[in-house]
Amino acid sequence: MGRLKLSFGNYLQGNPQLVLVTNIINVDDERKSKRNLAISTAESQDILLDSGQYIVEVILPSGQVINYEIKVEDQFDDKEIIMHAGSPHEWLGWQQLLGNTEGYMYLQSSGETRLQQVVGTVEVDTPVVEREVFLVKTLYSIPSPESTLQRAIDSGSWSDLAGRGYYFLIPDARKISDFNNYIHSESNQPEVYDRYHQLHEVGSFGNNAVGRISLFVQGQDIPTQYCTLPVPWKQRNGEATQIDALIFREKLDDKIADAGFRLSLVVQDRDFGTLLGYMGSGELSLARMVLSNIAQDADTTIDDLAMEFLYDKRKNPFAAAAGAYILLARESIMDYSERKKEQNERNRPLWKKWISNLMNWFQWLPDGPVLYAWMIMNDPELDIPRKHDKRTLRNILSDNEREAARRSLLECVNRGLPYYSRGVRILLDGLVLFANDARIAGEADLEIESALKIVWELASRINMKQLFTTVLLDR
Amino acid sequence: MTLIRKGKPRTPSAHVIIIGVGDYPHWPNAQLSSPPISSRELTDWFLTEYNNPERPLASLALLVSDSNATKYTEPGGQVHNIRRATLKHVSSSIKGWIRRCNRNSGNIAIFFFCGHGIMNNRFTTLLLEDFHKDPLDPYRNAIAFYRFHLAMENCTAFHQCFFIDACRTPTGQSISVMEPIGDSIIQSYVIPGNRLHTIQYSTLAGKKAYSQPDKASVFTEALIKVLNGAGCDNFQGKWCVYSDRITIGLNHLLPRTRGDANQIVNGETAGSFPIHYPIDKPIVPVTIGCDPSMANEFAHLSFSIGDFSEKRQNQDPSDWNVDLKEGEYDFHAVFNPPMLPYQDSNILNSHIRPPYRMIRHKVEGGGN
Repeated sequence: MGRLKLSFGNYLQGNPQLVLVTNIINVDDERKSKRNLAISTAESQDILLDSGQYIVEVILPSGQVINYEIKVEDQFDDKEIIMHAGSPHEWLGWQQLLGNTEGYMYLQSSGETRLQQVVGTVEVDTPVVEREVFLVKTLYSIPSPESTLQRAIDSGSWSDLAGRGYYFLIPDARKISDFNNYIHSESNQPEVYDRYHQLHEVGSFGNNAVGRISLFVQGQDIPTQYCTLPVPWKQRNGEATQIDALIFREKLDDKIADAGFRLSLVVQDRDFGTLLGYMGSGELSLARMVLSNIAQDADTTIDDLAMEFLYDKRKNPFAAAAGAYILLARESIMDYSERKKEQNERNRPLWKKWISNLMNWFQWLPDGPVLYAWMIMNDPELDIPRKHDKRTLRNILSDNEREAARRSLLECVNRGLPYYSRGVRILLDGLVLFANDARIAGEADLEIESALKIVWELASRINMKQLFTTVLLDR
Repeated sequence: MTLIRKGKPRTPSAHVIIIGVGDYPHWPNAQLSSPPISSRELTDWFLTEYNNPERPLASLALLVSDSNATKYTEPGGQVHNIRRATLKHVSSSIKGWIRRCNRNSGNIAIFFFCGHGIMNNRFTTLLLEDFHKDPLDPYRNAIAFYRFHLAMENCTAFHQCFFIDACRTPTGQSISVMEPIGDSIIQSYVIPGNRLHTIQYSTLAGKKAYSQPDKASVFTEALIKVLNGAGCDNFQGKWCVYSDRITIGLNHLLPRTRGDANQIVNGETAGSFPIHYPIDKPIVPVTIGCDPSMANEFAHLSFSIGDFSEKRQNQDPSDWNVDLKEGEYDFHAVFNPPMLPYQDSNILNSHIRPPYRMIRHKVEGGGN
């Protein structure tokens, strides 16, 4: 048995303990393979391998796969692989790893930067991009006075645009001037930039975050985009973590609604960072692998850990919501028998209660009610074998359950923009379903229809590929 | 509808619908040569290559709008009249496909579309042959893909694949329409989140997908290669294309097929499920080149396996893309005549396996 030393070669600010899902595949005998390992970027890791030929396959949250090939001869054979993700700059290390520079490939004509798979431990250099300012832009941070929120809620009117503007999409986005009165603007220059990227350190906000804080990006001829910052984001050790905003120019194209500019956030959570990356790229199964690595107790399962995040919601409700999204997504890809088995083995009612608490304790968090609605609609206790004409809302849910799910969806709309794009997608799916359910029954649900109209608009302005909800405001 | 295969077994099976629209008679200058070729080539692939003992091919519906052909000839020679991809035909074919899929929850439903597509805001709309037929209602004859995909929750088949080979560029006219434009074909009424599925868009939102003159499109060419090997894994002991490996393969193959990175796949996959078990060894895309790449144009590149060897025909500054059956290969870069500072390189006994490999000859500073 030989030893493989695996380490990560790219600089990542703060030396975080991000983990990358890695398969070490024995090409002759699958039984000797080691799959779904979670390899830390912070420290090298020794892996014992039987003699044989192996392919080491690292799957990055960006979707990029890096391959290495090694041959382990005998028990005294030590091998080392230094993994490189091929970031164009050190300061883009996090962003590259998480896939936020996805379109960077567009800008390169050479295959060198695109094809970063290497044999052995040879690093393929990436060309240095010429430094050039491409955009004059301003970041606004907007503290949200509670009175403004309250007024918007009390009014109950979607036409109160100025009041609820930065809690939710403004149906008539051209009226951005209406709520400029509420903006406390703070112009930021990027910390670092090249001709395609600007990286802004938005801050951690610590305990100073009051209400919801939104981040706006504006610039000459640039459609305004905004997102609501998940701050303060507390790490497991209790420290508030740094949030970075990346503005990425794919290609200047006036025909594209965002004109080719994209705003994305990275939460520099040492433990949770790559999990968020895999979640953002839709790789929920890989996100679960990362969870398994975060578990310090060897007996802790991934689900236990997701539940731990959920349980720890008072410390970090954003991470709790992410845990809930992963837990529920996992259930949704199980078939009926698996779900019944899971139901017996796991204490679902417990975390069901926690999702309920997430909704009730954090009334400013829009993701809580949408998670709760999804949970009700997908409760395995209510499940029946998959049969298309049996799985309607009216067949599966009792009147009370249906109304609870319906109310939760509407509550989400009332609270504002879900922090996670996934929440917007679920909200839209749920509202479409309730609207169709009522239409089929011949009784249009006007409240749902009204909410649906707004969420269609919202969804039409969101890039669902982003982890955190980023809204294109004007176009 | 045009059913190339008409099985309706009650046992778990594969049900496929393939739509290719190259002819847009009501839309000047919008003709495409690739979609009819893409749809026929993918149909050929399903009839000759598709292998899944757990879910054998039961039905395959093909609709093609082609300016000069109304027939499809199977690789075995049998000729079929095929229907054109108008909304009326597509709608009835999709409903028939769903009815077949509904016969067993273990079924796999496979949907493929190749033709023009647009984004209205963030939603993809697939344009059918009679798009723009009615100038007063130009967007009528199209599929609102988001709504259609959501409504496919109604379908009993637990495994669902959607391959969308179309542009997703916005149009000025649609920008003010908030809801997805087009027809959803069916209405969703079933609770979402109870299926394993993958959607593979041929390009990112807001971007173009590319045809190739008188060839299958870039995406379809890459997709067939993914199905032939680049989407494979063998963690269960035999090679199989899994739903969650397709994006990995396409991510690599689209730029390689185009020769640049102007088309990047956008995949969404919920759950891993087997799609196809290649009968032979999987075929792996391999890119061979020198490090530094500027040495490529001076190097004679070759590879060998057993008694078989192949040399690159011409020296070329670009990398050499080949498709190799899974196995153990030797790779060589020879500088003849010598070209200092480069030196020959041999990479021996390298195991080539999916999803893809990059072979880099280090030709400076001591070689491999």
